[in-house]
Amino acid sequence: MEANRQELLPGTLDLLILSTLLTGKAHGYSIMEAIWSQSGELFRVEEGALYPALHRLEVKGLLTSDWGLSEANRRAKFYQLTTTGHKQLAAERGNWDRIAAGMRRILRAKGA
Amino acid sequence: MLKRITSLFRRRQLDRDLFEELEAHFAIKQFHLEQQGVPPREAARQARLALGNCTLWQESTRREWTLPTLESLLQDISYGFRLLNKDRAFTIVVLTTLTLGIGANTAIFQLLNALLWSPLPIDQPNRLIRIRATNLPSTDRAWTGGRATSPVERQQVPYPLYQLLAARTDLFAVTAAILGQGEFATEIDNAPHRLHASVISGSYFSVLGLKSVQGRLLTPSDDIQGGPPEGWSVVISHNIWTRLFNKSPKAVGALINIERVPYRVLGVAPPNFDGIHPGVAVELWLPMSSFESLYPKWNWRNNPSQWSTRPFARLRPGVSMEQARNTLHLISPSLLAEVKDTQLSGIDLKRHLSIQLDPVSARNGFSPIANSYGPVLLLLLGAAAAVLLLAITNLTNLLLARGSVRQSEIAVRLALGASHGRVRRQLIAETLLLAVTGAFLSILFARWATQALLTAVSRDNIRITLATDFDWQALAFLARLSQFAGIFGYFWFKTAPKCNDCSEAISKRAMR
Repeated sequence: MEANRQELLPGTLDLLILSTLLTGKAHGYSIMEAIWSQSGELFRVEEGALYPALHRLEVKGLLTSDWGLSEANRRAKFYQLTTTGHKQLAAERGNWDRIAAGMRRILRAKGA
Repeated sequence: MLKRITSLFRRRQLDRDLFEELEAHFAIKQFHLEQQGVPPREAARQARLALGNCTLWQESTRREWTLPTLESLLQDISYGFRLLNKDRAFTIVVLTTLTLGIGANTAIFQLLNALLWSPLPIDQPNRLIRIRATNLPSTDRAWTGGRATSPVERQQVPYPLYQLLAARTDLFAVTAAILGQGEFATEIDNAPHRLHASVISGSYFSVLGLKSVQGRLLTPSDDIQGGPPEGWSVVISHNIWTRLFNKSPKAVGALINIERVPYRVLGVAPPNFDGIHPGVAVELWLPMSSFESLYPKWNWRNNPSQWSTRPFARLRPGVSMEQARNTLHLISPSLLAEVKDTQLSGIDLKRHLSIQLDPVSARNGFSPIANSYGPVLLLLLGAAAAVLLLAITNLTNLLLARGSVRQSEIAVRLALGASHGRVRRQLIAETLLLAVTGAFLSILFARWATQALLTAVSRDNIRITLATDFDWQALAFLARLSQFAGIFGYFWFKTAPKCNDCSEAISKRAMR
């Protein structure tokens, strides 16, 4: 399991967080799990990276947070996309698609 | 940005939230592990496994909310305060040294600056000259113990000679004179005052190129023998206008009595101008012709042996100081031949004719106080500067000694993971704290010392007053001091242990 762990590309963590939050509010642990499972158990985000990122996005106004009850029956902080968050996500997604497409084209051309 | 600044003030709340959030994270992790069938104890262990990093995350998460540099700066300063408070003897020694050293220098510098170095607040001060008489006959000199003492120059010339000088419009654009200066009994609104007055020619203000604040300034038409038909007029200083007339525009035209002679207030001089004798603040300017009404017996106007008038002038545009000097030296004998005591003959006449008229720059005004105290004050400044230098050397040693005492403290901080930059900033903040406090105290001390010096230099007949505006000087001093502090902080840090010496320094501490 640890063997096929993939290092995150720098700068992609924010995009991953925003995109997992597209389905609704979530707390830190579930965001971590979502990234893990949705990436096909490829990306493991460390707590030490996740929380600073969450707070950074909140300061930027892309996320809001409020306290709610978690499945462990205890207070936890839930994060949610704001309207600017949605916009940012759409923009970055488009960006990412272009980058990925460009990369793929170049790599294929070299491979052939 | 705003969020970050406001979060500075609710740090506790923030910290508590962060802690709770992380606790929740572990709880949820543990819960999920238990769901997967991990025994509760093992689940708790696994969930807590990463707890060692907890502080680190909290720190880095908090950094997103706050301004780390500002926050650590505040921390450095408050830590510095605590340290300085703990080591009071050190703090007191350093602050006293700085206060006395810098304060004394500031006070003396300020006095010298006002008396000797700062230009008069007039139009183009560099073009202003005064004309003195040099190469005086030895009979004019005072002798003490077989040695000639001053005057080697005379700042006054006879009035007829001044008139001849004023006629030389090829050299001087305008020429003016001061007949005398002193305290006069003045009655304003039936209240008696003793005011310092300058008795001047009507051209005085146009030589200086000054403009009135209220009314107008004296002109040659106000200074005619016997007085103009509407009577004598006087110009009052801005200070007097503020103090005695409450800045009323009605001051212009008011009648005041000077030595029982009525004068009409003509106008108010600009606020920063108080005459051309730095240190002695003039409050009234009287036309010199009116002096004949005050003291009818004194014949200064026609008597060639009354050296009564201080001439000064504005150089004609295009005429250099050199040209003016050469020409004046050249024409001196002929001018003096026209103005001489008819009784002079033989060797005395020859001596009289060899007197030289010499222009000197009056950019800084001409102050009799500066003449007599300037060299003494310079010497004093030199001494004070030397003392300051010594004091600074001692402070350096003191700081370096303290630096080596604190090596172990610094080593512990480095070992705990403080960056070198952070430690350097801490040391600089401490020295800065000392320097700024010292500078502040020295400004207070200098204020007092300047007054004390002024009182020491003043005499009964001359009351020295200086406009003491501290602000730019205080700022300059603070700037210089912070450099000084920075340098010390830096050197201090240089003596601090590097990380590889840490263990040694710490064990030294442990052994103590």
